[in-house]
Order: sequence, then structure tokens, then C-alpha cells
Amino acid sequence: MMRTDLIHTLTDTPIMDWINYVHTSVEDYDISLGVILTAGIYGYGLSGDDLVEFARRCLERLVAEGAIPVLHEGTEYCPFVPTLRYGRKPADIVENVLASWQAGGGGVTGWGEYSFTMPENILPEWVEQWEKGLPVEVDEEG
Amino acid sequence: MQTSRGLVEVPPAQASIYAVARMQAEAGIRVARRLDPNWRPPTSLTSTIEGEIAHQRAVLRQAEQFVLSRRRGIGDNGGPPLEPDIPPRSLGELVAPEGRIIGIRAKGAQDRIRTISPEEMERIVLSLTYHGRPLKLHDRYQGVWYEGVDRCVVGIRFSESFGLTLDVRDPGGDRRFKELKLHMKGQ
Repeated sequence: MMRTDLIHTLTDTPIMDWINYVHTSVEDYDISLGVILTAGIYGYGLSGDDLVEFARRCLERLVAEGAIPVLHEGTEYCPFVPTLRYGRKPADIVENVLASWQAGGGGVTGWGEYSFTMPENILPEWVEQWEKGLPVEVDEEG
Repeated sequence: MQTSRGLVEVPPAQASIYAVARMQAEAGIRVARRLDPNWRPPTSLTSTIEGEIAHQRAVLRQAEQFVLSRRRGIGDNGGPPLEPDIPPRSLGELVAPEGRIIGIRAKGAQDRIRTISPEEMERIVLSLTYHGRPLKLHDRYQGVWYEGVDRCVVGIRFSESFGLTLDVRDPGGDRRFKELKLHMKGQ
């Protein structure tokens, strides 16, 4: 069971605050799994099952707040393209992202890998396609 | 974006490249004018973003040449002309010079996102870009990536909502700063 009384070593943020406010990190851009893992490992000293639990709680919070998994394959004006790679239901997205990350070795992931953003940062027609469960076609003209 | 010929719409990545070029040019002008208050940069009338970027780079080059000509023979160390004013620094030295991350956590913002002063932003951008090198990573980043002297990789981009923003993609030697994001205060 992950400890809930931990304090971030660099910023003094309690771990539960970090989880509860993880969605605010998106702003007008994105948040990737690497951000969460970095905080878990280097900020709170987590590893193994505790790190997985931390990542799961953060991802659950993100999707509960409406974040959508995206790929950085859009246009120069809107880089974020919704993906159905991890499913569309919140619980599926969380479990499939975690499973994919762990299958890849479970290390700290890179920039843009397992990325999430809010619908307002994505072209509305792309969000609409994704919500219908349809793959998004990117028009290079944006 | 405001250019010498009025407002033009530019892609976010181009605007970021221009911001870096302009910041470097202004630093060059400051140093040159400290040596000679009457020093004047070259002028330009251009209406394209490419022209504006080229002009800012020309200003920097001329300022560097002027500074170099004045310093030659008076203890010049042979390094980049503006180095005494823009020292090379590691990412850790730039964002956590006393062991704690600079800036403040804005209300409602997550703790990896810090708001820093314009002076801090300029110090970081100038050191990173003057001594580092731009990287073409062929992703859809809406800014420009730079590799710093300690092999860190930091992005510089304009956010419509938050202004000039730095994204730490690879922290080099210190993993604690991975994906740190810095906004500039007052935008």
C-alpha cells in the first residue's frame, strides 16, 4: 500500500495534493506519464508496486477530469491527436496505459509518451471523432 | 506577432525562434552599448517572420563583432564574445542555483510548474541558447528545442495563455528536473 504521508523532496508538496491536482498540470498543453513517474520516483522515492499505484491514481484523476490520451502527431497549430489505442472508457484507458508502460519495461517514459490533454486543447472535430469511437484523420492543413 | 512592419500571424514554433533571436540580439546591444553608448545596431525593414529572425541574428553578430573588437587584447579569453555577460550553466545551476527550484507555484498550478521573473527567464534562455545548440527533433512541439552544455534538452515556446514557457524534456544529469515547466511572470 502506497504511503499517503509523503512530501515531495524538492517542492514540499504532499503526495495526495500532487495526485488530486495532477490535472492542473495540463494547462494549455499536455501531461505525459513521464511527469507522473518522475514525481513518483524522484519526488516521493517510490518504486515497484507503490510507483504503479501512484501512477494509477494520477491517471484515474486525469481521466476523471476529462483528459484524453493523445499522440503528438497533429499539425503545427494543434499538435495533439486523440488516440483510441488505449480504449475510450476511463477505466480501460488507465489499465491499458499502465499495462503498455509495464510491458515496455516500466522505466521513466520520454517526452510525449502516454500523453494526455484536455478537450479544449484539441480541435473540436477531432474530439468529436474520438468520442464517437472513430479514428482521427489528420489533415496537414490543420 | 508584432514586427517592424506591423502585426503578422506566425506559427507558434516560428514565434518561439523569433523570441530567442530577439532576446539574444537585445543582450548583444546591451553589452555593446556598455562599451560605447553610441553603438547602433543595423536597421531592417522586413515583413516576414523569416526576415525578422534573420535581422535579429544579424544584430547579434554585429554586436558580437563590436564587443570582440573592443575586448581584443584586454584579457579576452577567446570564448564567445558575450560569455562574460552570459555564462554557460548547467540546468541545475539555472533552475535551482541554491538547491531549491526557482520561482513560485502559482495558485491552482501543479508543483512542476513554476512562475519565474522576467529576469530569471532571460538568464536561463540566454545561457541555454547562447552556449547550447538548437535541436531538430521532428516532433510537433510548438517551440524550439535546445541542448544545453550539460546535455539537457529544454524547449522554449510561446503559450497563448501563459506567454514565454520553458519545457524541460531531458534534464541531463539531474533527473529531478525532468519535465519541469517554467512560465514567465506578468504575461
